[in-house]
Amino acid sequence: MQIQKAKDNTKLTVSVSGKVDTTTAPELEKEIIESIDGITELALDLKEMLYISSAGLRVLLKLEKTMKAQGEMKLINVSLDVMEILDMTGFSDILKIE
Amino acid sequence: MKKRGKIAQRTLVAILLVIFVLIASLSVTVGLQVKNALLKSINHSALSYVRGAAEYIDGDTVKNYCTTGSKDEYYNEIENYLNSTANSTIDSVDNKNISIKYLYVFVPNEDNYTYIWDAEPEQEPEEFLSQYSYSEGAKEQAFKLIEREITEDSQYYVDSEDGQHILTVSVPLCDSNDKGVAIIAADISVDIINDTVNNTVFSVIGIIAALMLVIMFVYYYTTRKKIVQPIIELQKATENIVENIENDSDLKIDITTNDEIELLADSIVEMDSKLRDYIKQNAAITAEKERIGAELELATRIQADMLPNIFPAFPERKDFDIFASMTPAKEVGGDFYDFFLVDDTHLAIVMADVSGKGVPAALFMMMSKILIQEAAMSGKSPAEALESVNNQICANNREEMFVTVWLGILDLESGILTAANAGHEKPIIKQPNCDFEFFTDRHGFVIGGMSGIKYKNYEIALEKGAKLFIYTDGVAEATSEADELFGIERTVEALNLVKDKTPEIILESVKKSVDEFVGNAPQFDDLTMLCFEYVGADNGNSNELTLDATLENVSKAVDFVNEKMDKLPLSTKDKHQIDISVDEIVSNVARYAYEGNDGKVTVKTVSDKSSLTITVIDSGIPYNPLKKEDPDVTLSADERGIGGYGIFIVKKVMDDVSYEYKDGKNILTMKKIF
Repeated sequence: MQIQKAKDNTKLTVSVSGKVDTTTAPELEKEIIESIDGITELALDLKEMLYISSAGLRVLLKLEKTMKAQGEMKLINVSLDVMEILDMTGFSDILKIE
Repeated sequence: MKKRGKIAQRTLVAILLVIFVLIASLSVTVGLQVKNALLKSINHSALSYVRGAAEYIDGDTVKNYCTTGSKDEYYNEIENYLNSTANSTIDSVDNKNISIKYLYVFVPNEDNYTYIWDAEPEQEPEEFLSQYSYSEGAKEQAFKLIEREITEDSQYYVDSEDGQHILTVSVPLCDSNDKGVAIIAADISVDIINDTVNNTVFSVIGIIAALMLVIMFVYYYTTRKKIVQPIIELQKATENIVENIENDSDLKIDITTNDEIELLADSIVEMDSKLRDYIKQNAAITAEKERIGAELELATRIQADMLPNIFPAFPERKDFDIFASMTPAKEVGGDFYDFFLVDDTHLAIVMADVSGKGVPAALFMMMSKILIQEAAMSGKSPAEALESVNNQICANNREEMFVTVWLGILDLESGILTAANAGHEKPIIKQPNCDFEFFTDRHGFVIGGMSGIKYKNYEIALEKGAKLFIYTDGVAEATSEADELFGIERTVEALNLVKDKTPEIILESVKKSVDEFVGNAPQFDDLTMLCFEYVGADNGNSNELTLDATLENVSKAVDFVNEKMDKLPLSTKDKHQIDISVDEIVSNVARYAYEGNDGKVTVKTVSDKSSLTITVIDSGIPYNPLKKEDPDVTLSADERGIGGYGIFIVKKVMDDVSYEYKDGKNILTMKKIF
């Protein structure tokens, strides 16, 4: 998994590529949480994400709850395979996906 | 029970009966004839006497006696005359004299009759003018005589008083005016003639009986000598035939009756001689048949022994399983199967059916089997092998026999089956997770039909677990009692009933289905079947990895599975889903199974042509994740918990997930079908 962050004032765009699973999810969580202070608009670019496991979903849920308090979070460029997991688990209903 | 001869006795009884009837009827006839003749003669004599008396007596005077009631001189004169007449002999029979017993004159009145004279030599005569009433019928006869309606009357009767046989003759006595005034009658005892009649009858009977007796004895003697004795002789002779049929002595019958019986005897002697000849021939034929039967049995054994018939045929080979059976309809059949390893990695399979039945078919089968094996072993492809066998057989096939052959050579490493078909039934193939189905292949011409025929190879890729069923027409053409064919469809149905069983059980089951269908109808054709299962080589498809159950090791488990997946035809999406699943299950084990203690987790993969199965095993607390309730995917972000999604995703993305707790281990199995 690789993470690239681009910050524009209060907007943070995080590009996540590769596999988000038990091993990598904690790193993802840590990376984003430490950059999230003062951010009102968090965009997760999942274009290069290969797949996401339940550990990744847990991170998404935590970020969503956190961002709800200070602004909003959205997923962009979600691939079909990842979208399928999000649909399957009902996450596509609670997350903003563009 | 011995039956006794009865012909002579029966004829004797019959003759006796006939004689008895004959004598009875003869004696009655003769007796009546003689009696009538005698009576007629006596009657004639008596009448002349009575007529003479009627002429002599004066009728006018008789009439006066009734009116005056007194006798006179004339009365006495007539009385004397009558008495003397009554005493005279009127006839004689057998030198015995017959005389009038009783001569009398009476006048018939309306109610009675009046005696005038009564000349009775042996008894006291009736009183003059004494009156008597008529006996029955006497009055009518008397008046007929008086009125001259009849001129005479004769009555024959038995006297009721003394039992004497009496003949009474009467004529009318007329006056001068020729008018009847009285009747003159004479009674004659004819007992004498009865004796005569009896004598005559007895002598007739005697003569006839004596004559018959002579005839009878002559007949009896002749019957015994000319019929009964020869028949007994014949009966003994035929008994002799039965008893001595095995001996060489010819039958002799000494009968010279010059009739049909002698002809019969001659025929029996001839029959005996022919029977002996026939039995000798038959014994020779039976011996020959027994010899042929024994040889056929031996041939059947040799034929059966020629086919690989010890199963498992290749106990050391784990990469395939094969089973075959042949049930010949006759002692020796023309069907055969064969299989043999061409080299370590190639197995040849043959199914063939020779035209015709019995010994010729068996001989042809032997030759075909050897030639096919030889050709296949030399490294030829099936088509080349069939071509070569065909040319060899056609070179010397004056009997115009032929054989249909299906020949397949399987590469045991790749599962590629190369086959060629010379007019044989289509193979039936089952790929893993499918039903048995026909494989419609290219048919070449039968072997032995024409030289120079080309055959074509075709290939079937057998996946691991695939099965092949080949057979002869005896299966599809098995006929029930209702003349219905078992047919191809029923064959396939029977196969699919047991499609996942071993080849041996499959063949047993098909045989049973055919037997049940056929019932008591006779088996017309050989029933030959072969079933082959391609297991495939064990080349590292099954593997396992055991790790410490820590979150750090989760990625190692995923990498291990990934490595196995590289060789499999999986899409990227499938691979990702498998990765997620392994990640979820192994991380669950790492987190919860050992409750913070150290423990191991084992990941095992097994793949076949169509699926990959991953098993995750741990020795932690018994826990069935499949029983965990699915998360409610409709809840909002705030309401949601963070757990439960892992196993939920696994259940969704894998094709089959199952759990068991066995020997202290949690075993979770996930399967992905390609």
